[in-house]
Amino acid sequence: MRPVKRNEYNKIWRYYKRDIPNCVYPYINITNLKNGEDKNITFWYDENENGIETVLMKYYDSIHIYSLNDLCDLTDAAKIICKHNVSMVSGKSALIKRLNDILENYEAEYGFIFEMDSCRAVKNSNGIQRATVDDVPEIAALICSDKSIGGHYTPEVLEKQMISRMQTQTGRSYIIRREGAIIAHTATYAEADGIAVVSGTIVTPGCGHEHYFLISNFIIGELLNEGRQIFTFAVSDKMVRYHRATHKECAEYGKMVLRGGKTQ
Amino acid sequence: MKELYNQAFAKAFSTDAAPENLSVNSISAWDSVGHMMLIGEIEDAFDIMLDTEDIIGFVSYEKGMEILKKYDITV
Repeated sequence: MRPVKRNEYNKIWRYYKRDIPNCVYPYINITNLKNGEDKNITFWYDENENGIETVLMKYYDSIHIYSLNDLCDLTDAAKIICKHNVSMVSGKSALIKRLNDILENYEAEYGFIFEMDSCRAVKNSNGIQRATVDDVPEIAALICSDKSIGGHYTPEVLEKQMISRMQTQTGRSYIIRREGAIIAHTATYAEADGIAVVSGTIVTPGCGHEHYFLISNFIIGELLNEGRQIFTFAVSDKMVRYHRATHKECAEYGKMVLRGGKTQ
Repeated sequence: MKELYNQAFAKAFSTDAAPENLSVNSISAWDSVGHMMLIGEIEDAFDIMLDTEDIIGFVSYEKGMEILKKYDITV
């Protein structure tokens, strides 16, 4: 595999574009990179006689792997993942299953990707505020308090990413506060023209049954009004059941988290 | 009708327990996500779309029965 050069971005973008649900994060990132570099994002790819075979994207401390071919050669990809010792690797479930057989120091889990193509009207959005960078430490602490949502993130890493996304307008957050404390949050973790990924939706337990409904439908409504295609990821049985009942299932994905966290 | 109504609670909260005394946060499954699952099951069961106010106001088994009357459904 070799690093993707700037003049090759279009080629990679076209490869991703054929199968957006399975590569929505790297698709959005490479779409945005057309406007300039980001030192926190690196792409590698390899080709065979049929064209592009595999693409890797390193984003901060994680790597996304993508190939249209579930039987692609994963040797080089595994080497790059080992070399960078990233905390998390994600991609199509078929690829993650094979990678996890090679990289046993990672623990894999599997989930589904849904398209959020409809929402309910939120008639009173008075309590919902757009978050600013000043809110981010509290948001990151809230998200990381729930392993099913915070996942492999530490609050520090998540803060850094959220602030960067807010500053570059590739992500936004909404919050509901009660007595000064944030009790509900939702966000886009990636945005480009016409597309967004909604994630980080969390409501403090015991703080009311209506907030998940309000904040999630608010952000979906706003993004749909902007004409965006919206995706979200779900792993836990409960969230998969909820999204299956509400949204359109479009892909299976997997993620592998480094066992025991970082050793360095 | 009552059977459909009870089944919606059973499906949403994955429980066989009698639903008559259930209300928001009376069981861990009826949290903010569980609430949306219950609303989805109720809407599917009775082929209705609840208004936002009714989704928010659906805070107990008993209250839900009252709300459904607005949609000409008597449980």
